[in-house]
Amino acid sequence: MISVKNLSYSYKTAKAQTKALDNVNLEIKKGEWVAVIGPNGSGKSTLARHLNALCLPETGTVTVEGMDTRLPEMIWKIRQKVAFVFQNPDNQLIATTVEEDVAFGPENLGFSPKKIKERVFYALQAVGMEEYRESAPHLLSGGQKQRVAIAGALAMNPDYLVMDEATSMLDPQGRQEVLNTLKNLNENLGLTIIYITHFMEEVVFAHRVVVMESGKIKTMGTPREIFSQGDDLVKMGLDVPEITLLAGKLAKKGWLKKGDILTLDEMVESLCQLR
Amino acid sequence: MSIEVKNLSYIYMPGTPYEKEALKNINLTINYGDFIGLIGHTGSGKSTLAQHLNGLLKPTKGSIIIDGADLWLKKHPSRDICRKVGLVFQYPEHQLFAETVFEDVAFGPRNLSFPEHKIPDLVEHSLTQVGLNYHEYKDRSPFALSGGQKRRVAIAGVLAMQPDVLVLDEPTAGLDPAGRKEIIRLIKRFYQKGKTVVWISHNMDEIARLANRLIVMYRGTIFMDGIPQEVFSQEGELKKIGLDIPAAASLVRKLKEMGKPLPGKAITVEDAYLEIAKWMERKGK
Repeated sequence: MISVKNLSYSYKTAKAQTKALDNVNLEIKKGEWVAVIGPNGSGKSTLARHLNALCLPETGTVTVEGMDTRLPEMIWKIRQKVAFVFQNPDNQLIATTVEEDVAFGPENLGFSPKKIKERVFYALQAVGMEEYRESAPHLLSGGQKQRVAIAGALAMNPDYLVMDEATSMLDPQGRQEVLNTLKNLNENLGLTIIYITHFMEEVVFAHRVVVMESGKIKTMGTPREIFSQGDDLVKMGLDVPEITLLAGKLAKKGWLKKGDILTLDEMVESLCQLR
Repeated sequence: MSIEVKNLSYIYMPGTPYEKEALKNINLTINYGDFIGLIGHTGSGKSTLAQHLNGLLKPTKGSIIIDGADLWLKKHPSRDICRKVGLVFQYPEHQLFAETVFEDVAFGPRNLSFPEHKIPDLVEHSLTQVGLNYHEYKDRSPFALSGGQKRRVAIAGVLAMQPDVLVLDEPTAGLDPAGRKEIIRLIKRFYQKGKTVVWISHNMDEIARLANRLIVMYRGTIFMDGIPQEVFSQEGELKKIGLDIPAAASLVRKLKEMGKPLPGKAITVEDAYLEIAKWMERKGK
């Protein structure tokens, strides 16, 4: 479990101080898929960066499996447990082949060559990129690059994976590839996923959605609960998925029993049930 | 008045092992008043085509003709012609460089030798167009603004050159929903003044609401060119080349396939609502 307690954090410059997180409390259980949404500047990334000690609390605490991120001797253990994939695929691949790139993490952790090979093979297989192990990363598509970045994280055998807007630079196919990969990792390997995004359609996959505003957790719930408060989300500068938007309009007219529909298939089903 | 693209081919890094034909014999006319959605898989040639429209890239073969004038007749394209086509790159805020918002927006028109006494008005007008108050923002550092504001300053820098055509390469990528809406609003305003827009996007829902013409690219060629309703009716063809259709279009098509009595032509949530409403009203009688 990751436990965030009374966490506050400010960015400081010579002139000003901006409060990025304001008394945040959150628990993330193993095996969960938690989506974090919120307008730009609401503190999503700052919160994420606290989960593996890239940022340290100003006040309050963050613990990963009981390890306090403020203790320097815990940092490397924590970073092995909580892996990160960032927005721009081109900024995080460093080696000349896919295999070497994925090996970077386990090499740094001091694994034996045999174990490194095993980890690399396992990780590439888990994201469906084993065929590309000798390819040059820069020749891959955006979706493939992000899958390699995920493999690089998996090779360290983490329990938690933080995706910080990791699909925002991909085309629809690339996004789908990444989402399918994550779904598989979450369902079949029990990997915990913390997923930051601006795409409301991607939130639908999560078990739980955390909505942030001005450094605070504004509300939390299942995607259905969150998107049924569509008007509040729009007021905050967020949105609801297109299908949910349509369902809301139809429900107002009484043509749908409930407006909290998230996917196309659900919508077809509910419309066809009506007599 | 128009932009004509004739037999355009472009090869990246010719004569090297990385040689790649990014555009293959493209023929296309962009008419003034078009709001074109340019879509296609990553690597299909959208951005390469866009960068030809204002002379940033020189065709390997073929020509670009703006209002009857061939851009590459001489060694360098004429500034007066290129100015007519404003190009907003992907993540344009990465190109902000000046110390103040004013200096950044003024850079383009100064470079085009607009008279200095006209610059303040131009900057003020451009910032107003993107919804930023001139007096509030002109002296601020562009780097201290939010992501959405930075992007609007970058777009203002292009608008300050007073283009007739605006080409935008994924202008809403990476913004939050509110930021996206702001950009869409300002581009709509630009279009409503009788100008032309070419909008590159991966977001089909967004494109369906905005464009009155869709150009679909695939491996350096034009795969489809037509009104959005027509293009999005070819779901199978689009899926084959890695594209999708808007969620609303998928829904009404699926209902129609199941034998429900609706036209199945909607591509936006608003139109899907109308189709379903008609069906429900008939059922109610």
